[in-house]
Amino acid sequence: MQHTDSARLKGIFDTVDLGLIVLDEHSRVLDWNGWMESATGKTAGEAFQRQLNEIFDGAVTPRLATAIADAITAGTSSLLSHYLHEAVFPLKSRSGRPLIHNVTVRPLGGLPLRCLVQISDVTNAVERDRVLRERQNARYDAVVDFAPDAILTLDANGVIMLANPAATEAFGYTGKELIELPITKLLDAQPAWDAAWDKLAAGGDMMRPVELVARKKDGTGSFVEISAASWHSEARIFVTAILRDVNERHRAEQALRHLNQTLERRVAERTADRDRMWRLSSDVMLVVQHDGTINASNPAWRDLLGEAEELPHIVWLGDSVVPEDQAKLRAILEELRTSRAHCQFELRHRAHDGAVRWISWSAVAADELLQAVGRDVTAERGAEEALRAAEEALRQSQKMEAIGQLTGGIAHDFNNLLTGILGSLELLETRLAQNRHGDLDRYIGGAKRSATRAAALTHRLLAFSRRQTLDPKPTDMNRLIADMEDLVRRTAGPDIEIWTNLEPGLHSTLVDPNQLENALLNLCINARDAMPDGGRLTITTVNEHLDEKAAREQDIPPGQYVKLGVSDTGSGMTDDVIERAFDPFFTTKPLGEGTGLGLSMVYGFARQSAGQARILSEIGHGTSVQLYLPRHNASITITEEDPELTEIHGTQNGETVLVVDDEPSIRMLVMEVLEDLGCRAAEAHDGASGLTQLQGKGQIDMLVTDVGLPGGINGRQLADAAMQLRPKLKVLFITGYAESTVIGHLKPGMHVLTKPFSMEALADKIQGVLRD
Amino acid sequence: MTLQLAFALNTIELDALTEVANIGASRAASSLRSLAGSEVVLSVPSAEILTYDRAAQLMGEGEAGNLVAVHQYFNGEISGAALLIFPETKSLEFVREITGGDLPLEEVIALEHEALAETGNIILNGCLATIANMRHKTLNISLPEVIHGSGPEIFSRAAGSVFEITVLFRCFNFFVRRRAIEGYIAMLLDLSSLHSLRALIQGLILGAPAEPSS
Repeated sequence: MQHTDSARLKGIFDTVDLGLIVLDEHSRVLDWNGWMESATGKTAGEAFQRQLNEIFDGAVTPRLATAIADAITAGTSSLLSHYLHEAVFPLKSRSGRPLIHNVTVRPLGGLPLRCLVQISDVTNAVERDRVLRERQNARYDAVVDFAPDAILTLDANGVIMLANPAATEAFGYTGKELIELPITKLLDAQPAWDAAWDKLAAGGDMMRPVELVARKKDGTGSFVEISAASWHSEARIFVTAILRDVNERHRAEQALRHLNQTLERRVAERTADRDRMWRLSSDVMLVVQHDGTINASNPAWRDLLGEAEELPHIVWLGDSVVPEDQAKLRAILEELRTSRAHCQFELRHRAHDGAVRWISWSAVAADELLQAVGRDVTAERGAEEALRAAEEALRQSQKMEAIGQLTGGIAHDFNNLLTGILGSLELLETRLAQNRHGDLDRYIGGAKRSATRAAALTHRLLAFSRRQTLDPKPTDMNRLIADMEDLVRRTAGPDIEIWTNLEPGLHSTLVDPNQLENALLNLCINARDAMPDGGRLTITTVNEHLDEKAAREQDIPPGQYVKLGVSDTGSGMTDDVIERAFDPFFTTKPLGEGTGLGLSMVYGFARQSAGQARILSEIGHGTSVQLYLPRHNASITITEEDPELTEIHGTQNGETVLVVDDEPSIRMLVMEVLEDLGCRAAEAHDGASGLTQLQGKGQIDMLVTDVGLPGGINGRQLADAAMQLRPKLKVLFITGYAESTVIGHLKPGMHVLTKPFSMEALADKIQGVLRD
Repeated sequence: MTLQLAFALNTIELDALTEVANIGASRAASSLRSLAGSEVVLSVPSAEILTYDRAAQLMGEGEAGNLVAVHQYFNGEISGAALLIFPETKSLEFVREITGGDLPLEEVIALEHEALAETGNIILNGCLATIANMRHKTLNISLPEVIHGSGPEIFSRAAGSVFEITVLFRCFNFFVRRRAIEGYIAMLLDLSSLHSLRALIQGLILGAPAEPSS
């Protein structure tokens, strides 16, 4: 039985998958099992009674010898793990692979103690662990070793356990220096981290990364953003932290912050600048809605219109605009609503004190609103007005100068005419004394013709000298020249031949006839002065079509023109003189004989009338001045009939006409004409008595009155009063003055006839007025 | 909570016991040196006798977190449990030093358990073998086991409440490159074992090898 047990135990001893060695008290091998034979290649017989050191040729670790000695002498058990001992024994597997093994050394039995050495093969387990760990580490290393960010693993005390290569680079420590280094060496004490760490060390997580200043080995600071998470290994807590270098980002943020701060400052400065401009500008600035409602106005607007500072009473732009400009304002607002373009315009605004201010605006639509900047140009407009008045005065004085030049010839002519009249009257007187009635008609006719011509002459002079504003109207130039011809002829004198070459069917032109007369007379006087020894003055008119090229040469738009030419056969001008002839105050005449304004006025007239003036001249062959004036397409309305051609027609209605004149002979003449017309006539010698009759109940259809009347009421005042009393009353002023200021603005139903006039003209006028 | 024990050791006896422990420690240190490949010094500056409860309580004081302990039973003339105890947070540091200081964290974590067991085994064997050798007697000493936990947990798992007395040695492990890792070596004994230990110490003080008691 014992034998059997012993045999069985021996069987187990040799079969068990453990290395078993039993040593005696001298550390000599007593037993050596099958596993050991296989792992060492040494049989139990070879090992028997030998010490392990001998068996393995000294390749046994000293630790094993100590463990064996302690087991035998003191009864201790020892563990020799493969982790700390690469190979306790030089063992091989059957396939020759190094065999990884753990060794335990145990005391065995009673005294004297023996020792049991057990060797367990952990190769498979270790290999498996190694493969698993390597696979895990490969992933881990790929992430950690090549991560651009510093990765640190800390234990629960914040001591660095692991640092990746990026960490050594980031902080300037070697890998070994970092291990066991407290993280606090790297991070300055910072509340954000301390708070995060408290959570992490307790096994919690960080909610969000924190940005901290890290301290490198050399002491320099570095901005890092830390994200960290805790993890567990058995009962132990570790924290792995990723420290991202955010210096670049930090710099960028700093730069951005700086930029933002300075931007705010710059914006503030600019806003302040604009605000200053808004407040201090002397130009008016408005922000206006499309309907003209004022959203905002700068102080200049209130200053200009004299508004109260606080509550501007003008909320709609139109409220400030004078009535005459309202339509213009509406048109401009409409244009700005549809256009994005800048719009420049002028408006007259009524200031708080009633004064009119001209404002030159520049406006543009932007963001559903109009931005408008305006400049007060009232002073400029005033200056323009003054200039216009000065020009007007100048034109008038120019005219008077021309009249002055005419006076000599006119006086002479007038004497001739008077002589003719006086002569005829004397002859008439003589014939009557002689009772010779046969040829009386001839003398009466002669006197009448002379008187008519004298009247025409004075009429022309008065008309010419009349102060009139520019008033372009369709004008028949040929007719105007014909009317002027007599005056021109007398002005030129007997040594100068006057030729006219007027185109039949000449187009009408839109000019101020008075200005045209003035220009024509000026040109004729110049022509006369250019021919002191006599010569030929030719006035021509012709229709001209200017094509593109010709128009460009003349510097006027292409189209239809009427050309007026005044040519002489005089001394001619040098090119130098031609060049300056239109300059104001340029004259070739001796001092005192001319102002030098004639031709410049002619030029100005032509340009104002959208035409052109040109001088063609050759020394010794004469000069031709040509005016191009644009064609006017409307037909000419004849405003004045030739009095000598009119027939007298009676009226059938028997109207009653009141004649008021302080000159009895004129009253008598007018009354006789009225009677010839079949009208009833009443008369009064001054305004007061005339008014008395008008206040009466008698029928009065028409008032014929002189303007200048004695008795405190002049003709105009009488007419105004009369029309108050009798709204349908017709009025005809007969006056020796052409001054419109004396009569003033004519109301409807008021007419004027200038003295002197022929009886036929008077009759015709009266008929016309009554028929009106 | 002063221990009033009839068998309490006097100062001389404690000094002698400390000396015994230091002899054992130096034995262990020489083994550790060969293992770590660098200088290792173990020193045991003091020893005291405490009740089980007091010792278990003392273990946790002043240390944040858990403890780690290597413990072995011993059986014979003196019976009890021997423990090498230090803060869990130091254990990786400890293992890293034993393994030469160059292993990556993962490796250190992987072999922590075995390395601790063997290292503790060396240190405890050193002390126990010294005591056994003084008596020319053997103790039957078990293989080591590693346990984690608080002081009371470790004491309870190592010995239950079988042992009333604790001989507690303050223990410093010096590694060349590091400051000391401080820990304890505890021997949990019953009263008769304490008595035997005392007799052993007294024999040592008298300069003669103590005779085995009857």
